Amino acid sequence: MVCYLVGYLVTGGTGGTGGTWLFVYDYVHMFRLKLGLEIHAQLNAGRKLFSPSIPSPHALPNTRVSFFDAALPGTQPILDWNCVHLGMRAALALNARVQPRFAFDRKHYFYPDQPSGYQITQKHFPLARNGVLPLLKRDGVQNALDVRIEQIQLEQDTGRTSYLDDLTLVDLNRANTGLIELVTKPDMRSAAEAVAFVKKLRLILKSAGVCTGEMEQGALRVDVNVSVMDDAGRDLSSRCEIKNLFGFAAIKHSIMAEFQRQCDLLARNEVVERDTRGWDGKNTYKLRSKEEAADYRYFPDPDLPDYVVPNKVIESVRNQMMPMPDTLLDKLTSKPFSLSNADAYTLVELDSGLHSRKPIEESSSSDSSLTAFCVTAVQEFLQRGGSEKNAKLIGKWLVNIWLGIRESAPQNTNQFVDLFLAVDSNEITTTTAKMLLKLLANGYQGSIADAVKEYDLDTSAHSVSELSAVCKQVLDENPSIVARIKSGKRNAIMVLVGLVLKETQGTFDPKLVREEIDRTIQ
Amino acid sequence: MDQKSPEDMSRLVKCISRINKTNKSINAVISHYDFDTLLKQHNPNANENDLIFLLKDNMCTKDLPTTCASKALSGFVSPYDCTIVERIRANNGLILGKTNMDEFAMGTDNAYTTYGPVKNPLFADEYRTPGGSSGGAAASVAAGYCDIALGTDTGGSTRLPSSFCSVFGFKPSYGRISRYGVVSFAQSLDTVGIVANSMDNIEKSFKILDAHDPKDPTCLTNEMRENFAKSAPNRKLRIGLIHEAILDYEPEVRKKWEECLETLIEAGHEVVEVSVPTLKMSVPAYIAISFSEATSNLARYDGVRYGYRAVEDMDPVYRTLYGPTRNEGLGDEVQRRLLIGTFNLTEGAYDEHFLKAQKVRRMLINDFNKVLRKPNMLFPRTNGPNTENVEGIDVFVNPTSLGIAHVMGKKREEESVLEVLGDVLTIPCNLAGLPAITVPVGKSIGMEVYGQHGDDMTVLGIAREIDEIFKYKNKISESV
Repeated sequence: MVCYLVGYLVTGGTGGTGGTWLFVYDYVHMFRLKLGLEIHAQLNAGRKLFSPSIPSPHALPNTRVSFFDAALPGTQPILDWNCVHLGMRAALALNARVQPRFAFDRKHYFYPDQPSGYQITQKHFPLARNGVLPLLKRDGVQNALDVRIEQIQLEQDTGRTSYLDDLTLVDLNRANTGLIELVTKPDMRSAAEAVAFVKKLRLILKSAGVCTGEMEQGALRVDVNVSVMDDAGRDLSSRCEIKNLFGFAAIKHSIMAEFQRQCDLLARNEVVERDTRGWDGKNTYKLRSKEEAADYRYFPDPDLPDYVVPNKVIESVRNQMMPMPDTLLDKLTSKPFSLSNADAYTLVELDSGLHSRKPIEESSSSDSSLTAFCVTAVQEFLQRGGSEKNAKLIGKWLVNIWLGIRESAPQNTNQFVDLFLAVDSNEITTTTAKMLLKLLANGYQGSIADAVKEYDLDTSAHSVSELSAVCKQVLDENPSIVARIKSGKRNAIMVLVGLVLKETQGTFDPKLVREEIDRTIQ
Repeated sequence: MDQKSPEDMSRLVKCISRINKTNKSINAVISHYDFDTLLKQHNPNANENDLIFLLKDNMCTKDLPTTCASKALSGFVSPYDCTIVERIRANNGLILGKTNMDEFAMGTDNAYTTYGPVKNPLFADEYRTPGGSSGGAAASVAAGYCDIALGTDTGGSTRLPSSFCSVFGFKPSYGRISRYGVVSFAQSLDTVGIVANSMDNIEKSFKILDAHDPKDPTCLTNEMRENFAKSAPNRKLRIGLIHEAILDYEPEVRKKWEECLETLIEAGHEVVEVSVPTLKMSVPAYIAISFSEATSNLARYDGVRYGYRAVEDMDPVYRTLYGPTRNEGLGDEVQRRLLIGTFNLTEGAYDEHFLKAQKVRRMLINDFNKVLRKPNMLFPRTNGPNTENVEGIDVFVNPTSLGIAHVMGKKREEESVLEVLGDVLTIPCNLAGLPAITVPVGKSIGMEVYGQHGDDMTVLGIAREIDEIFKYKNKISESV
């Protein structure tokens, strides 16, 4: 179809708030954004993909280099199965099919950080195919959508080059570190969706112990394919690939800038060439065009056999897997845990950091995770007669009070649950309980009962006469508020309740305080 | 050195004195340990039976250079020893030094080498080819420099020179000997080969080297090895005469072949003519596969981390990095092959060249599987159950080369790539991974025996019988 372009204007929301960008181009049709992603995630396997070197982003240059990593003559690749298992975990976490057979290909190009002159990757028989990552509203998109993942392949990372005056310096520490490359279908329609995808993917890969997700360290690198279509889904431009985006802001802004650029070209009736582009923080710029693209001369690596994956291997990897973020979020936000989305996300996010740093051998033990603690504490609380109403305090306070002080889950579950049981039986007020929780977080070792006694916090220990004395005093000090209440402004009573609670340091139940004030005024 | 009569000299002294005496003209050995030190450390009374080795210069050694006879690796010393060096030393083998070869094992005359060509020691008066690429290895054994010279065999590189130099040259089944530390030419075909002056030494050294190595991903596992026979069968064999291998042999070579088969029939074996139709297509398939793998394997010689580097490493016209380094470091023949290999792998040519060649390779394996008695453990039969077929062929026997070592002249050296067409008799074994050995049956004539993958023992058994028939050993090596 030939489009007659008469100008365009923005009609949609901004990419940042989850809206779809729309440019009207002829009063009938509109320019729409079409996005696909290519993501490289470094495998946190403890070994390189084809050698026993131990990679580290912090090691001195060229100190983590085996003979194979340096492509010495006569060396051969030996596949590290930890890397394969992590790749399988990623595949299973992304609902992809681990292939019954996989193999490696060589991709050729000359560059100093690629010592053998080729990268070992998977073109013809990748580890996994046909995944899908659902984006839900809570992930930050306007409408839920499924992003399809074409394939997940294992490949080698390159070394690093840096430049000093006219010298090119090569550090091979990173060379041959295992990566998974993951390619999505062009299913995203806004920068917000792309960002939500990367955020969610990052959380999943961290939770599965696949990758540290540290974007600044280059552990997760994103390329975006941007093209423009009309609202009937017809492509109007060739897709351009923006390479090496290292953060969410870069992903968002480069997409918006590239979309703008392509729309400008289309509006002027010009052709959008199929380029590979870079991002300078403000604009995308051309790195090379399709015509200049290298012929990588892929062919099967003759040193490496075809690998057959028995079903039982896939099953054993599946059995080792931690519950994935969506499962945890669903659980934590429903009864009896009833956390808010934000609080639940905080727990899952913090846990993912824990899993992502664990060596692969230990990654199935979940004892120290926060979500596991939260679930155990709530269950114990209910078993010991706690009410469902107060059960939801556990997660909420864990996130908002405990984690404000400590980074890891409480060690003493009993003590923790006792605290909430004390609230539940009205032994202490919630204000007191919050204070006590801070005490526990700061390392208080005694029992809750001891603390209540030690700090004189028991609601029943304070007589009603003590309360009525304080109430009377507060009422006397605030005649104008009393007058307003008497004139019918009933809500003003809360000011007095607050003052009484402050005076009694929260040792009385607010409901009780209110009743007492009511009584005193009358 | 002490003046002793030859009878009194230890075997090591004999080898060293022969190297000192004739290597200057034969040019087979290009680097070696300090002989005086070796002699001092050697106790002839205790170590007289230890095997004496020379290694092809594409086998990595910590204390001798490993150059692949290429300027690209001039002066390169590997920081590690290849697995075969470790196995030799663990079994009391003595390594003297490294042998000349065609650059990166690409050639059939051992004439493409920075160290200058190797001369065939069987022909004192004229420059005849020793064969390649392991020409230095075969010439060394023929000249009595060692008991065993290890070579590599990608398309016949051990067998052809062994045949030309009238020594034994064994290419075991693919994957039996570790390639770790052996510089790759085309690793789906590369096999470590053994050149020796007797069947005994072939078998002794094979026993030392035939083992799984976890460092080589293509090395056969212990589990697979359990399927292989430990010795030759004690029965009369069916010997295959491949119809497509009946070619235009030089009369003397053909005569030896006829003599060989007749004697084997007299001994009770049965000779059957069979067809392996894909044999005819094996050379082009070999070119497509081996050159493609080579272009990839040799991409690492960029001068950045080791080896030769041009002073100004930027092509002045095309502004490409590494151009001058690789242009100056790699020889003409290597460059020719790399260019063909590069082309084969380009997007437009891949299907028609590389993939088609792989299909031919598989067809060839199927052809062999159809007529052979033993099943193939790597590539099961497609025409029935992968079990023994008692009607099948045990081994094939045909000459290793159409003729004897030719006289080297200018013209011959420039024929380049086309020379490999002569390898039609050796290449199929590499494509199918079959064990193959050449047995000397005359001056510069070898008889080749080959059988099913993994059936090395049957092949060695019949090779021994052929050796019994001809008992041909050239004069020099007999005295080692």
